[in-house]
Amino acid sequence: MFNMKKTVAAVGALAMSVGLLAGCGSSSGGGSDEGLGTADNPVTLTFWTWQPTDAQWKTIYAAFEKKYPNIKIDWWRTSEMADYQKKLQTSMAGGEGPDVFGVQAGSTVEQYGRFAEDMKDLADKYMPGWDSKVAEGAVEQTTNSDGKMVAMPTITSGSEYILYNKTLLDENGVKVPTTYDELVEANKTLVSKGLMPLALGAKDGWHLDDIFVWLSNQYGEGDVYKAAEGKAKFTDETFVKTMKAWKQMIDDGLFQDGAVGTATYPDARDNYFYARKTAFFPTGSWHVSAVLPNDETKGTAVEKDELGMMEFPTVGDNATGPTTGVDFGLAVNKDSKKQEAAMKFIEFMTTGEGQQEWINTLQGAPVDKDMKVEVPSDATESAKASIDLVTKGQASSKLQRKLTSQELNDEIGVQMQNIYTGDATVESALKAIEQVNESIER
Amino acid sequence: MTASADGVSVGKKTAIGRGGAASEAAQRRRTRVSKPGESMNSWQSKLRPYLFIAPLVILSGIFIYYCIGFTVATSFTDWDGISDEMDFIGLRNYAKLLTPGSVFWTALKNNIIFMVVTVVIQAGLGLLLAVILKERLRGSNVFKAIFFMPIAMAPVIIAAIFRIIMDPNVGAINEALRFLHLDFLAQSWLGDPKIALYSICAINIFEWMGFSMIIYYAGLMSISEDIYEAAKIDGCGFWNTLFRITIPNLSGTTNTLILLGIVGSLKTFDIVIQTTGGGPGRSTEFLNTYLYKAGVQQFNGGLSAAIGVMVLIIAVILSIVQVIVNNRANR
Repeated sequence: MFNMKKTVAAVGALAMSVGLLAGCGSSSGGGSDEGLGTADNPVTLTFWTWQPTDAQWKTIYAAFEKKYPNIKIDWWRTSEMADYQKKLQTSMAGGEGPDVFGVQAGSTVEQYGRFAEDMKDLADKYMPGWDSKVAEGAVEQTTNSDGKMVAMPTITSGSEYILYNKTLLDENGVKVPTTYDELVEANKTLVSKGLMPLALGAKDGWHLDDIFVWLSNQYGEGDVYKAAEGKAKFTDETFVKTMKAWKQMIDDGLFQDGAVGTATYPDARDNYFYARKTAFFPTGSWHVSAVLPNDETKGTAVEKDELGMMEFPTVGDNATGPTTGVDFGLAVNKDSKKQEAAMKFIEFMTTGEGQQEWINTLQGAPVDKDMKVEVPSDATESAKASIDLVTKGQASSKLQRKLTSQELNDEIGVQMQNIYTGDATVESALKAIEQVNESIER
Repeated sequence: MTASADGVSVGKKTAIGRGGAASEAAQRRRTRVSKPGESMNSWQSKLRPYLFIAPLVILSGIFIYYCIGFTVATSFTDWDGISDEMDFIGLRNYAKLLTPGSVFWTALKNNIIFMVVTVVIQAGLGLLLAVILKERLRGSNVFKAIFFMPIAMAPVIIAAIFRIIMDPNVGAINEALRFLHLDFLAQSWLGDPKIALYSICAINIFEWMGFSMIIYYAGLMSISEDIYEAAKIDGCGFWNTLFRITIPNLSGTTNTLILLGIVGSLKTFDIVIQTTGGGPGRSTEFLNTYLYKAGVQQFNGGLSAAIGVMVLIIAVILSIVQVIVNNRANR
């Protein structure tokens, strides 16, 4: 009997190990839709994302619950895009993704496209009249190279902007610059008075890519997209001028020491700009939220200062203005059995109250053409002007913010850093970028 | 019952014939005969050992060996890391890695520099600290705790703190240097491609020096006091004792630390990604940061797998070299 016990123990151990692995199986979709549920028996959607922020979501979800007591949302978020992608990537590959997930224009639309239900079909079915409300340019950006609309665009944002500290500029007798030369002059004056130059987070490849795309359009509008599709070369004149301009900006002393070792967040923002060590912080349109009283600046040295946002002055030949991109779009898992409920949520976020709530936080500009940001009446003049500038700039921009190949984006970032540190010349940098560009399979 | 018992005994004879150890077999037979229900238990007793090792074999098989196999197989494909499509592309990923001037070589070079610098300095400083602390100075236990503390901290936190300390404009290091009128020494620690890699080495040394110290300290405790007394009587000074008694006696510990250091440096990822992210340019790109970027950010699962396989090969080669050197030294 003793032997029997041992055997049972061994079998038990085996069973446990098998049990551990059982969780690895994948569920499959298909079957009929669960519909919209009722208040007593609600449908629960799973939604994974990297934005909105926790605080913003609280407001948005409260409004959603009020409108749809029959739909609950099980929300999971991480603020880091890379972490979010890691989780989504693994789960999707294992067939265990959420009902609704966030995507950004660019590589994620391409990569996660195959896991998403065709959004055009869904929207035609559940959101009649959507196409007259949602900006066409934004829809284009959430459509993949096969022509499938992967996600419903929700908010847009673009580059390149500068967040400035009006109070600090006034204290130093400097006017808000409107041209590049004025910016260089203002910068010199501030540095001579002991402040730091523009706080650039040039450690981040994404930020340098933003600058590259924005800047290159000023020398040849649209050339960068052609080159990224393989229809032009990165060694062409437009890009030579772009990189020379980048070098000129560095030589003009526009940025702080060791900018290529500084991250945009939190370092450049918190340690320099919010610490009142600089009056200028180059960033994207999403940061216009800092011009209104908010949680981010609370408790920092700039809490009581008047902040504003301006477009980064034109450096190149043509004033092509800021770029824009779908910063956030919502996709529905093609295996989800809750697509009808998911579309109610997406409608709410795109053309409904959710959109209004979200754009009011100034996280991004609206995709709904009729929607306007509700600016609090006690906002400062700089704040009102900044919000107006960003909303209009984003609505009128035709320039896409991101290139789709991440490998190309990475190389552009690396080579811009190399130019900054003197490890590459304009020519060698562009040659390296073109080499990567040619190696991409299209 | 009887028939089946006979069947078992026949089977047992065959087994004995194969095993060849007659006396052991006889004893087994005796044990068997004395137990009731033997026939039923015979196959069970043969199976039992396999059942006991099964959990480990299955778990490590699936989580380690299957994964290694899968990674090797993936490295010959163009898999993007998430889709079901996986096309065989032969050695193209390896060709891309091994092209002269490729990112792989830069990363490998950085990894090797990092490995040599950190392994040597960590071991050296660790030994020095252990020797000093062994002298039972007042408060040596406090120092031991202080030096060991970084190991208990999460690397992410260490990296985040060093990023602030090493900030070129408002960081504590440069502020202190400026305060001491040593402005010329103030550097862009993480933003200068010539320095950044060594700054990362310094952070790693801060983190792991205490570990070397504790391991050496344990090793020191096992060296007999008699040897030191004899050395003292023979008039051996501090340095002579260190080089002729302490270090030779600690060679086993040193070897362990070197091996762990090599493995650790090949695994280095968190500190780099949190401080420089591989930049400026590619001056601090490591094999693992490159692997991560290729796999997670660029959706190039195949290339990422190929980097992983190269790391594995390098680790195996280095371990073999280390073992051979170690064996030769011990001969």
